[in-house]
Amino acid sequence: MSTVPSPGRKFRDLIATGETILVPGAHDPLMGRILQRMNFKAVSVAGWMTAAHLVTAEPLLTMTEQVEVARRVANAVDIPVRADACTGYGDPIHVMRTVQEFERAGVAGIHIEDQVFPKRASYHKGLEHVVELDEFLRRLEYALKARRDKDFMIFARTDAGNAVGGSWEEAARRTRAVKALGVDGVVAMTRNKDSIERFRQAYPDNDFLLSTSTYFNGLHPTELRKYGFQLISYPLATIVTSVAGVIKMWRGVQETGIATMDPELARETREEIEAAIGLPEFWKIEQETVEATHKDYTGRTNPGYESYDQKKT
Amino acid sequence: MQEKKKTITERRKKLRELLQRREKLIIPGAYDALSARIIKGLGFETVYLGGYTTGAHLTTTEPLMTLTEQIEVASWIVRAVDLPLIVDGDAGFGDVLHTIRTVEEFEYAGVAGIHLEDQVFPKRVSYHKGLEHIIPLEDFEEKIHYALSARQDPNFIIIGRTDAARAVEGSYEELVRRSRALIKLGVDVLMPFPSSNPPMDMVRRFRKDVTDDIPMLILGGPEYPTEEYWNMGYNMVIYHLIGIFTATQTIQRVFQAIKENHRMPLNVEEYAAARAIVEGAISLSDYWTIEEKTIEKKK
Repeated sequence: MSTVPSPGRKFRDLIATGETILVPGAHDPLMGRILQRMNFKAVSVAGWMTAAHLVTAEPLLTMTEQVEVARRVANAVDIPVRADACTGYGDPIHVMRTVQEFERAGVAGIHIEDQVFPKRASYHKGLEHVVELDEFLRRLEYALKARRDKDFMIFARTDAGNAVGGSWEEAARRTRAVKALGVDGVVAMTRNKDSIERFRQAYPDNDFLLSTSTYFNGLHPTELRKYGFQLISYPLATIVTSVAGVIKMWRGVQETGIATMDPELARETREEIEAAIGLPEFWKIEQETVEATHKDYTGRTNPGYESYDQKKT
Repeated sequence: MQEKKKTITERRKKLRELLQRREKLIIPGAYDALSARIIKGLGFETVYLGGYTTGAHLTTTEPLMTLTEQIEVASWIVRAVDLPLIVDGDAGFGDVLHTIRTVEEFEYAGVAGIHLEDQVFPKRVSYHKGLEHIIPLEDFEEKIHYALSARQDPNFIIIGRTDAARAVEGSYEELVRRSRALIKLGVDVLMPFPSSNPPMDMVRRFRKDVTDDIPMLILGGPEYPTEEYWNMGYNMVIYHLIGIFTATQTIQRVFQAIKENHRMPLNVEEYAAARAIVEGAISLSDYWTIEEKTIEKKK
């Protein structure tokens, strides 16, 4: 028997502590590693961010592409990774394969939603369609059956609150139904205070693991926890702020011709990236082996490429 | 490796020319890069990659195979042989948007053409036992229309396939109706039968009812010689499954023999001959030549 807990087991143990868990998005292994080093206890790989990362739209993203990104993130971190498994990518047989592929990728859990499959790009502008509850339950029933590790977490995500013909009452009805089916938690797509309140009015019980996503909506985790949400994910914030930083810096280059960043922050960030990718450990091993004759080489001490200058002295 | 490989553009032009001449073609189905090399070595002009075979090769089954997986296998074949490669693009892997992406991905992958069908998506495994469902013609027309407009290279071939001949929602009349609609939309090739065993009287009758001068693709079965299909007006005959079937059968037979007899069922000469086929296909001797000229140069 293995003494190392499975990713799903780790996630369950974390949730069992009862603490409020902030789950930032990570669209690549570097972001996952950085967030882990910042002591976040879980990260998520959301579909929107993977699609952005691969320059396709989430509705066009294939299961293979999403699993691949999730696998890379999961390989880079020790903390649980929750992945967006979209609609499960098809009928029950496809959903079963989806569960097994994500489980094999080393993620701790996934969420499966009730949107139509194939997904439509229009849902990104709020025109959303969901399947009947029966069909959704069938997806989830076979998803649960497909697990090899019974600790692998399967969340149901319902988009019924925002969908055409949907309502927060319907989202609550679906939450009760998926709970009865035995899924591990629900993601109800409550994006702002209004939808949170409406959902919690329709589903006032505190008998189920509730997960919410948040996007610069000013809501504090303490407040979200008061509404009963233990898992608080930030599926877009990482990639959106990354892109904002890139645009800001390069716009500066376009305007002034000079790339600028606060030198201290540049040094710190670079050191953080190098630490995150394990460069100091690699240097240590090289100094013990192939670079043993250069043991006294201390390396660069400043940001940038000053090692050339250092060599001259 | 020594000879210059045909570019993707050249391969597509080659296929376009063959189609324009209504050339009578035998198109063998590869299921991986090695089988494609063997096919090329035999002198065939084109090669095919099916969905069934990728589903089998990766043991996912075709209806569970993703676009990314089919692209990946196709890419290996494109790298391995400079023949025009025709690939099974299934139902376009979704709605119109997904079909557009499907066309783009196969084009980027260097494929020469794909066929797109009117089966429902997500596909169902039951279609492998003949229980098939197709989408309404209007939806299919929309899909094909957008697929045709998604092409960057006009020489990228789009083959319209209809499964109406045997689908629950289909009939012979529906097959004819859909075929005419596909021709009108401007597909490059028509593939009117989804399997290698349609009733031959229907196959014959179809070409009498649909007499359009358009390249026709059919999957060859074990009962008839290629000429039979050619003479009926199907100039492109694909042998899509026999490669993976017989390769699998051989592996099974060989290891069964080893399990029983604790000995290879090939003698030294036969073993060497089999090895030579593989090493020839992967161009090992070309690499040896280069090594001898460089890092293994005699001092």
